[in-house]
Amino acid sequence: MSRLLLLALVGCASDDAPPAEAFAFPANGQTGVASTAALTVVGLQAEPLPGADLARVVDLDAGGHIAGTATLDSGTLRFVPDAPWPAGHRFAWSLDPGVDLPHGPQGGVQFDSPARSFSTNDDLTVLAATRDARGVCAILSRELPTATEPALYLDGARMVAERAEGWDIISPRRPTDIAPLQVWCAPGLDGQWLRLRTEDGSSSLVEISYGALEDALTALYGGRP
Amino acid sequence: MSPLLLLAALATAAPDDAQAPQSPRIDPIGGSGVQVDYAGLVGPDGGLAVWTATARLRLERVHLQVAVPSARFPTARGADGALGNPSFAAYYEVRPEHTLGLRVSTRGSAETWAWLNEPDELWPGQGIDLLWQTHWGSEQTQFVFQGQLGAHSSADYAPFRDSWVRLGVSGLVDHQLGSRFGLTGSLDLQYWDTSPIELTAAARADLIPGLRLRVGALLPLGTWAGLTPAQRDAGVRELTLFGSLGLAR
Repeated sequence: MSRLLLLALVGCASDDAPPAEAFAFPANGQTGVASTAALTVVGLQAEPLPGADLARVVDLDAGGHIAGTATLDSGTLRFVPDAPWPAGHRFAWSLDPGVDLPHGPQGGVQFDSPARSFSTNDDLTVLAATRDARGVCAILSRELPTATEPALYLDGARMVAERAEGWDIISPRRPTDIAPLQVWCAPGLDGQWLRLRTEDGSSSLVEISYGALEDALTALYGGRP
Repeated sequence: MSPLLLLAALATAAPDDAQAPQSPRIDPIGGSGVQVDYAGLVGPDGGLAVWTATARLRLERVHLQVAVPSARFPTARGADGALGNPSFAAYYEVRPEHTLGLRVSTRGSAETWAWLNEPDELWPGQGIDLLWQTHWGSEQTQFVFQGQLGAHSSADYAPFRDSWVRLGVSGLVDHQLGSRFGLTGSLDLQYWDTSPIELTAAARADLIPGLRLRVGALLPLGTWAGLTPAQRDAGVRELTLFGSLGLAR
């Protein structure tokens, strides 16, 4: 965990420019990521310093860094691993714009952002829950098969929810090789805690936050609203 | 001729004026020879060292020089090493006391993201400088003045610029102590430059005729005063120690 805490998603903005709106894919905590998916950050206004790695990825299960190639083109950064992501592993990643050196490159601008992780396993968790005009909404860590309804419990009682549409308007440039997060909403309800139970008996629990669903999604994708 | 024979010939036939006064910014206008220089940054921001191999050839009133620097420098991932920018210089003695020179520096490596003092030595870039040297004084004490005008381009990352013009003046005084020793001091003012004001002091010893050892310190007064374009706090945080071993005839 300490390693995770050390990792920071980085974007850039000049002193004069407004804060960058950068979105990172996969979303923080996303599961079921395809083995060939590229880590992608769009909307970067960063100009990394020479010698920077651009992106660093750590395999949290096997340990060690993942070798790959990072490129930055027109504000879009992509990290492609040299080999497919190992199946069933968790990863943490961060951007590396370089650091100022007294007798070296300077001028990199950094901002802090939550640590990011994703996994190639099929764990299903609830990443966040919100309460707004849509009712109570749960953001799940991966897509569910069609016609499969998640077992959501609102303050202990089973919650009947519907798949929400249109949430991905926060990120119209989402790369096609990474599946979107899935959102399930129950209109007219209110509560404090939301639990997701899965068929294998595991469960995840989150506190419901009062705020717009878009804000919660934006936070998971690393954007700066 | 094998290198060893060449070195032996250089060492055994050294006229007195082969080893001309020099400083980090002033090339010697002397005889033919070879020289190896070391310069290392000392202080909390240290870890940067530069080695330079230089060859000089004198053809009557023409002096040709090739210098190839290489460096070991800190990066975010640890120390790295790479070639600096090789330079080629040609000096012509217009009159015995006046010399005009043209120095061209070419990009060595695209990955040498460091600068020690001179902006065109390591950082990826290229440029051209016109130099004028004049010297006067006695056999025991010599003075050298150099004026410099150059145009350069660099990899455009701070603290460097995409292109820049350099205007510089340097003064040097060299004092002979006995038959084999001497002291050299110099002051350099440069703009645009990563180290705009420098004061150097060096001692020299002629180990054998033609073989000169120099050791000294460079005080980056401009950097200490916060005048460097790099984002540095003013203060005495560093100096550069240098040394060289040169063989000339």
